[in-house]
Amino acid sequence: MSIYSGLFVASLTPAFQLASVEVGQHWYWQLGQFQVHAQVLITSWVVAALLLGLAVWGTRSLKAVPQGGQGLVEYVLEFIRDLTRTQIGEEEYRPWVPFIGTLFLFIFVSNWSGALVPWKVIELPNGELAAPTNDINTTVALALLTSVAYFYAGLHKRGLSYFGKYVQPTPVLLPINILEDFTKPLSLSFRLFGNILADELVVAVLVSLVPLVVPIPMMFLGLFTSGIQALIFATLAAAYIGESMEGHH
Amino acid sequence: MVQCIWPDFEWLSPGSSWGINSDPFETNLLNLGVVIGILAYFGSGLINSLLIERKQAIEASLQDADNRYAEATARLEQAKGGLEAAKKQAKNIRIQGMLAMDKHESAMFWAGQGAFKEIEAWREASLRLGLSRAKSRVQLRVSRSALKRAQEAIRSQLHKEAQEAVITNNAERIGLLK
Repeated sequence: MSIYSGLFVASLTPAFQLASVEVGQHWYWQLGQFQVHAQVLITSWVVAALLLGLAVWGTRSLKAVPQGGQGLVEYVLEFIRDLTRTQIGEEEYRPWVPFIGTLFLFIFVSNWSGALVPWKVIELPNGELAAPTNDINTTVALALLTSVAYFYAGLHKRGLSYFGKYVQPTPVLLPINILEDFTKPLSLSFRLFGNILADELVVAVLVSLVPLVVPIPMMFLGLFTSGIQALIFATLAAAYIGESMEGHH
Repeated sequence: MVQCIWPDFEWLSPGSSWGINSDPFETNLLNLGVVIGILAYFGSGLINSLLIERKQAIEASLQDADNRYAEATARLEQAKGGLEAAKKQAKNIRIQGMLAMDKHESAMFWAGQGAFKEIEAWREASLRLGLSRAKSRVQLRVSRSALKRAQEAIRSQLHKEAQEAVITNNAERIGLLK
């Protein structure tokens, strides 16, 4: 097992080196031959734990008329279900609710954790804790997951005829249609990363200039933007999946 | 080539520099406190109102569903009652139909019997008429043939002496009448 793991790691190393993107200071963990951003993993685990805690708290005693946490969780679920149904369509949306919901909740809680949790209280050996979506590797991973999801959705629904969309409406558009598969994850990841990083940078700069009161409106704006970005990411992911299953643009 | 896939937790080593930054300005704690406070104050109110609204909507829909269930049950009972009544009515109609059929059958039978009797009587009458006609014809023929035979007998036996004797005889009888 370990031999295969080693071979797998070795085969991935060039791609990993090519894909490693560095913005800012990081604290690294050595994972085999890979170096991973520890602060992102830690905050991601915190976000995952928060979401799991919310799910457990909301579903520990289910009732026909929801009380407290159950009502909140059901409200969130209804919101995600409506979002997915709007983008994918009534017939196909149901299996995609968990994926879109996971994306939305993870991004939303990540963004808000960056804006609301005082991460700077904890000092790391290197770098600092921040929202997981503040790291481009997280957003790229999420965007690539979306790409894989929409390819899977299209191939699963339409078989090899899915590739017919590349010459639609005219074969002249083939290069642009192929390019679209690269621009979609690129735009998804950079939009989210850029927005969250910019929010945190603006707040950090304002705090360094005027420590009190003045950053507060910008922090609220950051909260608003964070929510919107999560919504945009989930909506676009659902739209791409829906589009790949539709058959035509 | 084979590597141990396990994180090297450097921060557990004595040289790591983990720590707590308690400076409220550096960590933005004061602003965060204000933001979280405002968010909790307004957000909890908003979320509570949303949840209460949703709960009321769910309760209303459950109540509505209960009402519909009760209404549907009542309709079902009503329909069952209607079905029973219809079954009874169908049974009655069947019995009445059977009775009417029997009645009609007997009426037809009796009507047939009457017609049969009439036909029988008519046949009898026809027979009698035919018989009387045949009788009268036979009588006519017999009387005609008898008359004819008598005439022939008379003609064959009639001659001058016999005629004169009859006339004389008759004249004597007339003379005796005086």
